[in-house]
Amino acid sequence: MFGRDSGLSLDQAPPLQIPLRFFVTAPIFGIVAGLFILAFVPSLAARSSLEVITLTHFFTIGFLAMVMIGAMFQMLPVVAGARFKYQNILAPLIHSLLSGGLIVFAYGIYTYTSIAMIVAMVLMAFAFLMFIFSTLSALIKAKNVTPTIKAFIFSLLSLFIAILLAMHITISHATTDISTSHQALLNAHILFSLMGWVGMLIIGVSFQVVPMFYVAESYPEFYKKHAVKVIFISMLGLAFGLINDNYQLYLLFKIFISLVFIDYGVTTVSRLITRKRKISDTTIHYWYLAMSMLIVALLLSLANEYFNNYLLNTVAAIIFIYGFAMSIITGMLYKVVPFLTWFHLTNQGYMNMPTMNDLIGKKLTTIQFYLHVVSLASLIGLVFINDLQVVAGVVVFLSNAFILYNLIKGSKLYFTKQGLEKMNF
Amino acid sequence: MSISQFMSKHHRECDDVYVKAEGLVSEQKWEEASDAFTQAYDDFMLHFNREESTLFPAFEDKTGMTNGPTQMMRSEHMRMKATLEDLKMALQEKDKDKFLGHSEAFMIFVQQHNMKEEQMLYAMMDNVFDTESEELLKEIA
Repeated sequence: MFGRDSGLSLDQAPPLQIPLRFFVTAPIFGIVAGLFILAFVPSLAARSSLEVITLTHFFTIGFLAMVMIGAMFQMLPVVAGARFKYQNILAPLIHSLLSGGLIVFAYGIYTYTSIAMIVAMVLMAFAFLMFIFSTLSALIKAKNVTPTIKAFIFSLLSLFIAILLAMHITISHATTDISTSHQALLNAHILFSLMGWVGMLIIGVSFQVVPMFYVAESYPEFYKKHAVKVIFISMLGLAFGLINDNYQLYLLFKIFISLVFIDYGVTTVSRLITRKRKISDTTIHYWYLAMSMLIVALLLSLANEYFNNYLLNTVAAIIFIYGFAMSIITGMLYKVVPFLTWFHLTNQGYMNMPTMNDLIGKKLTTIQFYLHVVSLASLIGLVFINDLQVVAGVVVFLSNAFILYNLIKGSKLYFTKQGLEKMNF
Repeated sequence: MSISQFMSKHHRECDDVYVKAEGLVSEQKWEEASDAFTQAYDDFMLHFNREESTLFPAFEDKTGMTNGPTQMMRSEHMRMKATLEDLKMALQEKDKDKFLGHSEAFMIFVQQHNMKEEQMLYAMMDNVFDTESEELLKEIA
């Protein structure tokens, strides 16, 4: 029944290098984003300007997707008792295709060069599709389909749709053949990327890590059972409304999706407030910031159905990407990277090592947290005030450089372990 | 009550006592912390013992899987026991930072371990044990 080929083994944690290469690359693209703002982004007001599109993808693919893919390599054994086949080849391949593809993409979009756009699309689509299919094929083999696994599956399906839409959009740009439904497909791409892939993955991860890191009460069973289904079906309905120009349908499903996400935000905050483990650290601040920014972003986006001001939409997107998703991901990295370093070193028998808390140190993560808040504020400011270009560029650069420094500090012991005294169990 | 429910409930009980001890350490109430920690330590040992002496061997007999998940769980127990000793020492030295530093890794490790047991191993136990469940529960209660 549970034979050798059942794929079930409880210890298949990948070598540290596998997730870490993705984790460390994320703030590097954050640094690039800061430099890009300094050089090329005088304002964020025009959402469809080439520099804003380029910048957005530094954050969404370079930072968010990068960490989320790396984390999947780590999480799969724990949540599904399975791991990626050929992970030692797959991880570096996906990582380099994605990093290389993103750089070509940035060049292609910013200079509006067709051939570069197509090359970038092929590289990144290849990376994402390999990731999607290898993850899905591991997930569907899971014996016990938990709410987290369900959320991952829907998140990956959303990513798949987002990638297909991205391919269509890129090809229309490259061939300058922009159809009348272009704007609707673009909005559907944003929807499936942000609410679908990013949002549902974070929800699925929260189901596991909120109880795990903070010894908090589990999310309500009803929510765990139905939330992602409702989101996914509503996204399909919303996209249908967009493409068929049916505003009522669009609005109805938008409200549905927003309510499910707001419910998630409120529930998470209440779980964290009533958590049993009272110790507070930077990651908790990041969670509170992320959840409040999620709620603000959704309320702004809903309010904009009434105000109809395109700047408001841009602000909502910045708050969702930089305020919600990047915050929660950075917070989790501060838990996960020192833990994995500790885990792998003690696994190898190094017992006499600093404690997990000493690996990065609270002071450094706290400073970085405040830099993150300032950089979020400056990005929002850049929607309205052109003079903020230098400030925004510098603080985004500094904040991400600090993340990079903290992650390297948190993990370098693993690579310089000669100094540690080796003891046997 | 199924094995899964019984053992999962005991995980929560261990958590409760342990985080109480951790909270007391962070407030530097050393005497109360020491009492709470001793209780948590005993609870963890009881839990490991229930699994290693009764449930795991029964599972291995029934499924023939001696090198599978149970073996992995045993080795994770070893690591938790080692960290519990580190924690005990930090408590004796009244070293708050050291205790909380070890505690951070310990808590994540324990929760991850519990999750694997609750979502996979216990679920498998509920499936493979039929009439034996009641007896096994009596044995460990």
